Amino acid sequence: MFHQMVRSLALGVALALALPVAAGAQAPLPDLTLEELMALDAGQVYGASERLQPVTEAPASVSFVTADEIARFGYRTLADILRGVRGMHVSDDRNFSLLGVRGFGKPGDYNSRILLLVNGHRVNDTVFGQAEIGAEFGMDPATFERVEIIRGPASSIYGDSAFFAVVNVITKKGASIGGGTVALEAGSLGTQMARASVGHAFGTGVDVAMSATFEQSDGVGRLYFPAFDTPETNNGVAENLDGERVHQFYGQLTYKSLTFTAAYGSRRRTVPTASFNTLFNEQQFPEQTTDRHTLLDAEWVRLYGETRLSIRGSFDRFTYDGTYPFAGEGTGPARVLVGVNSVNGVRWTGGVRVTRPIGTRQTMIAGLEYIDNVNQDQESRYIDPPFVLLDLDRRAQQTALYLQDEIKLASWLIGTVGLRA
Amino acid sequence: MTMPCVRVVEARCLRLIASIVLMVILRPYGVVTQEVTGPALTAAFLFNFLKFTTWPQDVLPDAAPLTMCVVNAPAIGSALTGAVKGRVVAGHAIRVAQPTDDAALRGCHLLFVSGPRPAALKAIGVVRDTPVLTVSDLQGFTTDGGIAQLHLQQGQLRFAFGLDAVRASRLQISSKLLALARQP
Repeated sequence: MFHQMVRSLALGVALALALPVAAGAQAPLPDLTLEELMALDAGQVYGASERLQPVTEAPASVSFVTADEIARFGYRTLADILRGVRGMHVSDDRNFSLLGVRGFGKPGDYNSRILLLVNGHRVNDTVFGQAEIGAEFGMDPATFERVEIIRGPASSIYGDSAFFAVVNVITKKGASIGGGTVALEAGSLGTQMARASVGHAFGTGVDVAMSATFEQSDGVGRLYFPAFDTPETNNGVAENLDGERVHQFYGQLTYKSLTFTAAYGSRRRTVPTASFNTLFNEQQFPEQTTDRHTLLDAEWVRLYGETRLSIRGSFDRFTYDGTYPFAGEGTGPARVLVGVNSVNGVRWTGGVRVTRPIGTRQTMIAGLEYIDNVNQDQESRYIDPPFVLLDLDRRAQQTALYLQDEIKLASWLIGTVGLRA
Repeated sequence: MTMPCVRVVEARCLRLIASIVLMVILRPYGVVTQEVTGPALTAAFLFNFLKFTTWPQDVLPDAAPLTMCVVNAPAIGSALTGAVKGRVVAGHAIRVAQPTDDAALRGCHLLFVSGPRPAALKAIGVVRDTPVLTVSDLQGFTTDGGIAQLHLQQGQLRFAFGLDAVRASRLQISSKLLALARQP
């Protein structure tokens, strides 16, 4: 018995030693050498601001997840990343990933109370206002330099959605990719992934980054749902209906103060859950959803002493197609009534923002934003017999003027006042 | 690995469980992210700079206390106070001060300034061309007469030196430190 205990102790110690430990985190910082300090990921502790603003001075509870952590934990989607952040929980209905913050978050809520940004630009779609965080987000975490999570409301700067949290994805520059990589993966559940990335910072002030990802997965082959456990519905087993197919492209070009970012992502998901009263285990016309995001963004940033001026223009497009097999009234071809839902959301955004510290205790942010939601179209129809249930073509414009002041009242208290009209 | 614990709980299985429990208990706490804060990292850099800098005898005699000053950055001031607690560099005990007047500024050996540029440059002006190692995270600090500037490069903290300011200050900065410097 004693020998067994010694052996298990030895095994435990060995396993504990073998676990990866964040670089340099064991020793107190002042004990580290300069070389070790310089190797630490400081992006984790400093925000995106030009000045090295400590996290502890940020007006909200902020978390960072760095490229290094993304690689180390093997995160494959933004949902994976957010699941690992304190105070956040992610659920998955085998179609979309749903995010909850600090205990709030209703499944099926489209994440519309969370603002999702890419390099500070809003990517919640223009029809549902949803923040898509699973593979449907359209960007590969391998192209993320850092993800910033800012808890609490920040609507005066960012507009609506910024209620529970702001999630800002900072994408990689060519210098971070630093050369070319090709990754090929194969895994369980019929998962295959291929990614090629290339990036370089030229001495002339030009920085180029490009990445393309293709991924597909068969998912779980046989899924059992007790609610459908009848002989007519395959005894509750959905067979081969859990697959996913993803394409993602990313590119960024920086020349001095000017940055162009382009991204396109598409995800097709087969849904095994027979949601919305569709037919269970339907093989001929399976329930499927396809989400596509396109982003084109140009930003020009200039520093005048302590004042930061940013001018940016962006184009976003979100399209969605869902196929839903309902029970038809006949047999043969009329056995299934196929419903199709489509969304087309197109948005142009233009804006100017000025950030300026006032004295030692205040930071002022002011800006003007114009948004033209060119298309906010929704359509719902049956294919055969052709029948249109809903056909909405909408357009809306918004102009917003905003001002925010952050006042440091004491070393432990920061007040933030914001106004958006 | 097959699932050894599925059938019955036997000795082998108990050993495995004990190992996993030990593994969790003994696991170093370092895996938790974000225990490193911005001010603490900056403070660690400043402390390291001391090891590579030699002050003239007239401003820092042997065994005299070394004063590190912080202006317009209370978070870094308190991080630095914690970082240098009980530490000695080359026989010098270390004090941390947050000076408010010019006389106190002149008593500094290392001076970190941050915050708005005019206030920072005013503080630097007071100790210009004297043996005070001035450090800041302001952009263009070395071209404004400062000695060392901290900056971020690809997510890592780096520093650069203004060599003219180093020469004028009569400080001796080790070539080891200069070799690690990177221009922003």
